[in-house]
Amino acid sequence: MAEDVVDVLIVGAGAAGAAVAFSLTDTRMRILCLEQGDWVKSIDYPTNFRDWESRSNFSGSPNVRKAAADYPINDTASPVKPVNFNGVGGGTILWMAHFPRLHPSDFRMKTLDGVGEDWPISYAELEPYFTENDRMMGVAGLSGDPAVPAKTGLLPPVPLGKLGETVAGGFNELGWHWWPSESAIATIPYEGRGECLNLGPCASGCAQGAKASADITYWPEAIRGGVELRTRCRVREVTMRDDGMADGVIYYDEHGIEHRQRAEIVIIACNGIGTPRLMLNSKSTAFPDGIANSSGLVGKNLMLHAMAVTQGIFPERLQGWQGPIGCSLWSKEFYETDLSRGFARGYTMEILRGNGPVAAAQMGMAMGALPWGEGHHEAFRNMYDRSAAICAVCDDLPEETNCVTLDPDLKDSNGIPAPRINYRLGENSLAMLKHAGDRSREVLEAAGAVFVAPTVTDGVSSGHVMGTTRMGSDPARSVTNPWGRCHDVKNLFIADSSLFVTAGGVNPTSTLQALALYVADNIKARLANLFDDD
Amino acid sequence: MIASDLPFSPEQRRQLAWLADQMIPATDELPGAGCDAVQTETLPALARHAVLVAEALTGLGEIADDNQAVGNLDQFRAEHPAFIQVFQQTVIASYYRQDAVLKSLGLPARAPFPEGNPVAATDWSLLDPVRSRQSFYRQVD
Repeated sequence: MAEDVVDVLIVGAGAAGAAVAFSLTDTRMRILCLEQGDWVKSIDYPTNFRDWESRSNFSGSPNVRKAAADYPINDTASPVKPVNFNGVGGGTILWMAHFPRLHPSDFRMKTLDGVGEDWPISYAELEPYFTENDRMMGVAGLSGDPAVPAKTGLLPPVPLGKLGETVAGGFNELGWHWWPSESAIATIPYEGRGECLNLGPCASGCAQGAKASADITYWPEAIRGGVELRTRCRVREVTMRDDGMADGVIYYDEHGIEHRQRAEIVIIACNGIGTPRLMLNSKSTAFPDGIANSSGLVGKNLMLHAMAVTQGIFPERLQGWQGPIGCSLWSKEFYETDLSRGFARGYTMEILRGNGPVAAAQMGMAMGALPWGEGHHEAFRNMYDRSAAICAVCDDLPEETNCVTLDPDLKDSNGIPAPRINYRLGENSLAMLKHAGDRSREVLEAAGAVFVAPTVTDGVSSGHVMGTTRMGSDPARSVTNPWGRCHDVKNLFIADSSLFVTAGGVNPTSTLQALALYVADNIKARLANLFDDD
Repeated sequence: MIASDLPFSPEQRRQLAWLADQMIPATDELPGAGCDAVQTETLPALARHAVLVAEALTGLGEIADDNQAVGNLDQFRAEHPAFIQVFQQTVIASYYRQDAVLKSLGLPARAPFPEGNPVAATDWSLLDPVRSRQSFYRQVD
């Protein structure tokens, strides 16, 4: 019997894999997606339960979660701890749903500021894909923001609540920019999704389905279009044919049984850590250092976003536990470069709502602000629901020393080498973090905070993993060409945040999904000569 | 859970309840963390760290007999940081979801879903100072 060969094989069913699968359904090709995790049932999300704050099965860290679908990440050599989710929908299952786009200047960093690199494409080229992606995901916001290019079709913004209005007052006092966050949250019923109920902890999954995770936005459409999605299938390596083209993959099913799947086109969409891990694990005679790695750049230029978190305590209760924890308002006052600040590029200040009582008490104990004994109750009453935090998402310049490699010892449950992260904050990032922390303090004090805690920058978690197989025109300085095809292997594509040339100072999901749609559109437009030389 | 199913010996359970009450004492309105409801939830969780707990409690026996021994309690906490971290996390996770505690904080004693929470509509005139600004992102294309 002839071996099964699909037209397109996508590895990874997260935000990017879902978008590329959906877009390619136009072609009527036979498309198969392999995903190492499962579908998530909304009835399993923690907010269905009284002990929602204590359920670690939806922790963002795979090293804590330790689910069957997870692979461990050695992050001991990184002050920023990567988080993810392995399942249909990927990181969008646990994200906070911020949906900013990279700014036009982020694509021209080298030309404008003399740092990093320029992208081989522009904001204008991605704009139609941003718009299509917004329609698929459903984005709440308010048009007219002077800090970003105009956009339309937004759902009503997420209400600020008392906490957001209080902090907005601080920005107004200082005369600084702020705007309601653009959020991939249905604030009114949208495309079969219910409206946001203000449950609070979006970062442990949305039981209502108002938050746009790729399993409930793109995947139903892609499957209706004929895509086959096979879950609990962990890909070990991409294999090569003798003619220098990718042959397909070898993967393990949920029972640990090894399978081979051949394909005419292979698309990797496993995020900025999973993608280079798979490529580095795909060794052959032609590519002893990992597939499509003649540049030596697979895994290099990892960007995680430096983050500065500053918390203020206010004299009144802020009702901060009501509403999407991440999405309230943000400020782009310090986004664009002003070298008088002592660094290039800039950051977004994102205002976070408050925690539930368990998290607040745990944090209070850890900070030494919540005593044992007689004073415990009064101290907790004085701190609970009185805090607001600002998280500054700082641009992260690409550096080759920041990288994903294969850990020599750590392996997943199938014995596949796990990724190891080597990451340090550069001087530009450190200066930016200091500036962001100081400005955050000013905002919180202007808003009426009676105490502002020291800014935290070490040990912060980030689901923003970017840049490890970047795109470009020069094969010596990039892994893929300007439309996501690997320079070295002409039927191997990458369609996720690994393609990012720069990180910007915003959450990456909107841009990585627009990129996935752009890569898919290029495949569709070039089907007749897809494998020709550039 | 019937008494014979509870992990730890009766003396160890008494010590753990006493310690929890030292951490979060009862008031006229609120239970202490050593109450039965919290203990029933925390003991199975602490049993996952049985060796750590048993080792730490060895040093607690005499203190538990003397409720005034605050100095010794501080010393005990300083000498067993790993146990104290696990103990605090476990007790807090249970205590701060008890109905009486949540109600005292003005929070609903239920899961967030499906009822959700009300958030008042925003008066967007707050944005007027920002709306009046000129576009200030860098236009490059």
